[in-house]
Amino acid sequence: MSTKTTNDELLKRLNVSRRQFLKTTALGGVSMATGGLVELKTAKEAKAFAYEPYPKDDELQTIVTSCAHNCGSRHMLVAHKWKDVIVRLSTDDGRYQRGGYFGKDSNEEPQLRACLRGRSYRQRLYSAERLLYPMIRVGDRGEGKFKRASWDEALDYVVNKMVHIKETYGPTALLDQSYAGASYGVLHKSDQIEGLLGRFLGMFGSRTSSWSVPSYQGTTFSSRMTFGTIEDGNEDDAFAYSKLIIMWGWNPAYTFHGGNTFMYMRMAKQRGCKFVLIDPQYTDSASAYDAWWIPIRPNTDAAMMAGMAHYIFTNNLHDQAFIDKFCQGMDAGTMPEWAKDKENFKDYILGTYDGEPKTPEWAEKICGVSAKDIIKLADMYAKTKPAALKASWAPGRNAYGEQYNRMAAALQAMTGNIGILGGCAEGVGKAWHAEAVAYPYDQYANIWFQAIKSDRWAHCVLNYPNVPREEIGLWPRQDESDGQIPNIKGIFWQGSDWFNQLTNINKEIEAINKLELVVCMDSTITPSGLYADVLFPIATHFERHDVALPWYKGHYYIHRPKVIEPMGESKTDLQVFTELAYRIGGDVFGEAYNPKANRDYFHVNDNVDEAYLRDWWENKVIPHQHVDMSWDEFKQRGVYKFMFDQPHVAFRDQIENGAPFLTPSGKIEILSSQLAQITDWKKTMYGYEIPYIPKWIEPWESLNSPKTKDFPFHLISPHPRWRTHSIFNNCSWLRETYEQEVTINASDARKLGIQTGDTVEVWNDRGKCVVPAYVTERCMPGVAVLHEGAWIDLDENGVDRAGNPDMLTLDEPSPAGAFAYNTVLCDIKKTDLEHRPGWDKLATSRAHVFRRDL
Amino acid sequence: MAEPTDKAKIKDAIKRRKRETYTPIKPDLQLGFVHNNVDCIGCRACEMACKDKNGLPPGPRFRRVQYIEGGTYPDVFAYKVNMSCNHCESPACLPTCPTGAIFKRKLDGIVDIDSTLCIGCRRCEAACPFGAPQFDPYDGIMKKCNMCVDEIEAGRKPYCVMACMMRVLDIGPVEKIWSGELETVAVGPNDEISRQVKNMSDIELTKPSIGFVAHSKGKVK
Amino acid sequence: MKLETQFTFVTLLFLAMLMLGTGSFAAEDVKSDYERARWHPIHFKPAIDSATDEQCINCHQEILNRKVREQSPAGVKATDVLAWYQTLTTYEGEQETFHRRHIVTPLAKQLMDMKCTTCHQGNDPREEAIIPPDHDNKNLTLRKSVNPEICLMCHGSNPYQMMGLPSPWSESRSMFQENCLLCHVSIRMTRHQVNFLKAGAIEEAAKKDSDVCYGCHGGRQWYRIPFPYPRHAWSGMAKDLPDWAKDRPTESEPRFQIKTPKAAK
Repeated sequence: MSTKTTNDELLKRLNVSRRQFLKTTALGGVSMATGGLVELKTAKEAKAFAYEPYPKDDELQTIVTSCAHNCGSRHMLVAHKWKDVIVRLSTDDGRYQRGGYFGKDSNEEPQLRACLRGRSYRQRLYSAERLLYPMIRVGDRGEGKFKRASWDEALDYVVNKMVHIKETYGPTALLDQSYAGASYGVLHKSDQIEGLLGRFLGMFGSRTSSWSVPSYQGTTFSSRMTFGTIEDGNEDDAFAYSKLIIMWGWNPAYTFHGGNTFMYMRMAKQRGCKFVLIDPQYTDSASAYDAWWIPIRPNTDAAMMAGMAHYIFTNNLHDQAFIDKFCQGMDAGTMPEWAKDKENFKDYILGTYDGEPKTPEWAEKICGVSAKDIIKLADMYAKTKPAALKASWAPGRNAYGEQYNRMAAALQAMTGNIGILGGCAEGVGKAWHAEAVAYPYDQYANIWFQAIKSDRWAHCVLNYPNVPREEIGLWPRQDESDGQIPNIKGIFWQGSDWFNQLTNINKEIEAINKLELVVCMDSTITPSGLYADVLFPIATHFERHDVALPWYKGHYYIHRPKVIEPMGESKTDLQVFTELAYRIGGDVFGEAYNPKANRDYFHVNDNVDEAYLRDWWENKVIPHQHVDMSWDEFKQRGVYKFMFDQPHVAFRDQIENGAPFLTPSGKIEILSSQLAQITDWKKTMYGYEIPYIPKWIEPWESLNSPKTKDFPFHLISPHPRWRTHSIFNNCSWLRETYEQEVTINASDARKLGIQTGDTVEVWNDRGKCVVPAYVTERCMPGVAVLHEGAWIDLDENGVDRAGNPDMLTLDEPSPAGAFAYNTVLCDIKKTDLEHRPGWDKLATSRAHVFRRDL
Repeated sequence: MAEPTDKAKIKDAIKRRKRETYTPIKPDLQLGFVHNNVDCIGCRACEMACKDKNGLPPGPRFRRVQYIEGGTYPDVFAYKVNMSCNHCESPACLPTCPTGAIFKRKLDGIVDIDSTLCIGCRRCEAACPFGAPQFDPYDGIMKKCNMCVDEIEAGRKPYCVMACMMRVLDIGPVEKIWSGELETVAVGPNDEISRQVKNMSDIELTKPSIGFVAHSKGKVK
Repeated sequence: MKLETQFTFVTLLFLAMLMLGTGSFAAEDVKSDYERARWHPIHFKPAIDSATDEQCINCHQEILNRKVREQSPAGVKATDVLAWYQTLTTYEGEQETFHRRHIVTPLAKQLMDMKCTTCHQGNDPREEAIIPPDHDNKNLTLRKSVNPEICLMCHGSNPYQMMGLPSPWSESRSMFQENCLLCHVSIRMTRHQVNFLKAGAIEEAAKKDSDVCYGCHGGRQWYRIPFPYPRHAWSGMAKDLPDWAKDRPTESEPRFQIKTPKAAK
């Protein structure tokens, strides 16, 4: 049992001042971190979920790795391993970095503590839903009947189909629906552009790519047009310096949003920063930061912002010097010579062109926020310096969502809050340019023969060939194939549960039956997988060698060694593509696809993966990013954290040193040079006109539209805290932390006769789902909230019993490509329909089909 | 986990206590938790870390972050109360246990349990005013938070504390928590410590070793 | 794999719950699921006030059916263990679960008449917290589905100092001939007049064995404080209240009072 000494050690930690503590424990920490593995004195089998015996951490092998999924953050996980079983996960405790020791948690190098999803990872890793063998479909698509196949059989099946489809239907027949679900590793990567699948299909010569990003295409477009880059983000610690933080549709308490953003915001609060939340819901972020909550009708954010801009302009609260120096098209004085006949933003706001001044009173009618509150907020924002208006992604996932983001950028610019510490130009929020690709990214990367808006694939398939190009957002090409409608006959899902996650699932169900090949590569069965012809079992990131990095915030790399051997017969996706390449095109294709490997790679990948990663670290990371740690030291420590003299602030160089913005004009383009010069919108990827200055545009569905007669509620589907999109939906531990439920306001509920816990159906003309209701005062009347990502579980009438909001969403994106996830009207009523929420009913998970012992 | 010799000792102790009022041990030092109800974002990473650390099946939750809300739209409020075992000065669970599986450590006041001794009568579960002991329906026994004694003995802090993304959960000598002397980022510069929050059972029942930074709407007058 | 067993277990539990639900309450919910069942109005005020034990037991049979393990995982036999309070003469029979000791064991049946709703007054299935927080509402206590002050009535400490005993009852009992009634036959005549106790049977049993009294007045003490019992008036009662009794009610909580038809005037 315990000794007096160890307790003294802890007491020191609990009582002594931080400074003393550093001195006394610095040495001890290192020896703890590198302490050897003690052989356990028990012959018991290593079990993942054993309660007893109770192996102590120091008796287990400790391996630093990270979480892997598509939240944008990338926090540390530390695996505690016994034999080949991970029996426990912990997270960063300060010990692993260079100069680290237990408890080190400085503002410059904070611990990278994992969230609840990451901490539950062993349940996903060892879940009954794990795919362990290749499977080939034997029932109908969606029925979930598969037979186990050998790798040979499954690979050959896919190869034969691929070749047949390409020969018959040509270079656009295979649709790339790779996405960042499985991994954001540098070597094994699923991604729309940089993914392994894109390179494989491109080299094969048949690939239609999906270009719009479901989560944040509105803000991506806005940042590209306005700033010329999506790297508009400050590093997380910059938030600690704000005096006012406006969380516009932003809920870091759910999304965590990179690194330690939420923690630095708490620091800001302790330093006196005021917080405002503009959101239909009073979120946990609002309560934790004690924010002034301004409930707003969904999809009307741009109108409220226009009202704020009007108040700021007419009261002369804008920063004219900043505007004159850095902006294009903010007002008449900042219009470029070539655009003298075009509209400028200020005159649009003042109503010079349409006779409609965008006053706070005008905005009130649209957004439901009182003019008084709009004025109060505008006044606060214009007068508090520095102030961070964080224009989050969700309000941009709307019809004309890009206008909201463009309008936000205009507010950020007119108040001079760009490029300064404590200000904010986000947007996307990407705060660094990582070296993110360790496999060959060469002339074969991202070859595509057509590219469409991602959620228009079903529309394209169902209407081929009579689809106007603007309806599917066809990306222009510089050759004779420009404008050719893709003849999609097959889909590859790599790290993607898109069938469950894109809009209007009923339309997808209709379309998928027209396809000749559907391949799903994932670590677990997913709702998408149920519609696949072939399931390839993919090793998780615990079962392969890679390096992780956060996608938007947090400056660090985390080493991800192969912690355990791949489970069952699972292989890495790089192994699968390499093997497919060899089978399709022999050594020529195989070696070109994976130049460091030979044919054995399918069976032995360790040395090749190590070679790619070392090469990447030594030839890209070290020289390009001034990293002073060798690959071997990095591997031994497991983490490299960058240190900066001052917090990273986007566009600081532009504002402080006059460096040009990456736009055509070198300015912050409130008037977009690119958009202003487009004449034939049909030939652009947007398909439809987008104003060259930010404008309020009435969405096709909202609480202001006549459609509310039939469907009186506006449904929004934010990102949940307890899943990463659809990943982790099967984890029972996480299930204990939430219900998949529809949130409605108490007064609405009284009218409908609904109480918390009642099972209700939520429906519109596109689809229906069944969920329990959560009745609260924390939600705006007229708004229903249903989190995205629940695994669909359809009854015989096509009603989703699990509560996936994408049964109701419309597959019609905004012109700029933003998914209109939050532009949905619906109705709600109590129901007797069956409800099947998941793990405790077996049904949602379908675990019985995929048990490891079958 | 108790060594076999401990079991004999515990049995002896039970015999000696016959026809006596049970008297709780006075620890050399009492460790306790401190939680900031206001700054907690309610993410429940602590809960997950705990489930994982203890290999728990679905059902039992040693640590529970409770979501509390109120007000009328749009004037609403919300806060979190986060409790596991409060390692009480006079634990109610301990005297109920017929097997001696629950014991309070003299060194640090942690109320530990050796679940391998448990016969599953569930008295401790009923007696605890704070819902700390949890029944594991798969094993048919009671389990509870032991403040990760293995980590404490290794000179570290429990998994839940080390999991807290907001750094609003911590441990320390409970007297220092209550007096505000504990140096911890869980408590902000202007925060006061409450020993009880609304709807928490009477702390006089067992004298729980916990402190909270209470929300203004959660303070007990 | 353990997880599979868990899935199976939960499913079976669930199915069992549905199939066995044949009573009047369950009949309307044959098509019910776990989600609907746990939000059934019977679990909340006001329906819970009139819920019968039969209705509760319909779904929650394990309350009565479940027994303690024969032995602990480490091999400690249930028949070998004994708690300090189980040395009272009133303890008989084998080790029993908490719920069975309160409802079906012989002593429980002899002296008590506890209903499910005596303790269970409903709880919030989400988090067992009240919306909005209300410290005066003791029916919903954080992390707990039962207000422990109900337990305190029989599991509080023995306030021997207040009673004027020289030392705890366990030490001074012989001084009083191990007989509570030595004094209490004349002090306080209104005892145990609550609807979850059998007052007459308690008085009878107490005459034979003071452990019957002590059991609930310190002998099964979980909590460090005594319960502040209501101070019913009795004949011969002193006019001046002692300090410790000043804040006490003079009646039991209404829901525990025995409802007898009042005699017509």
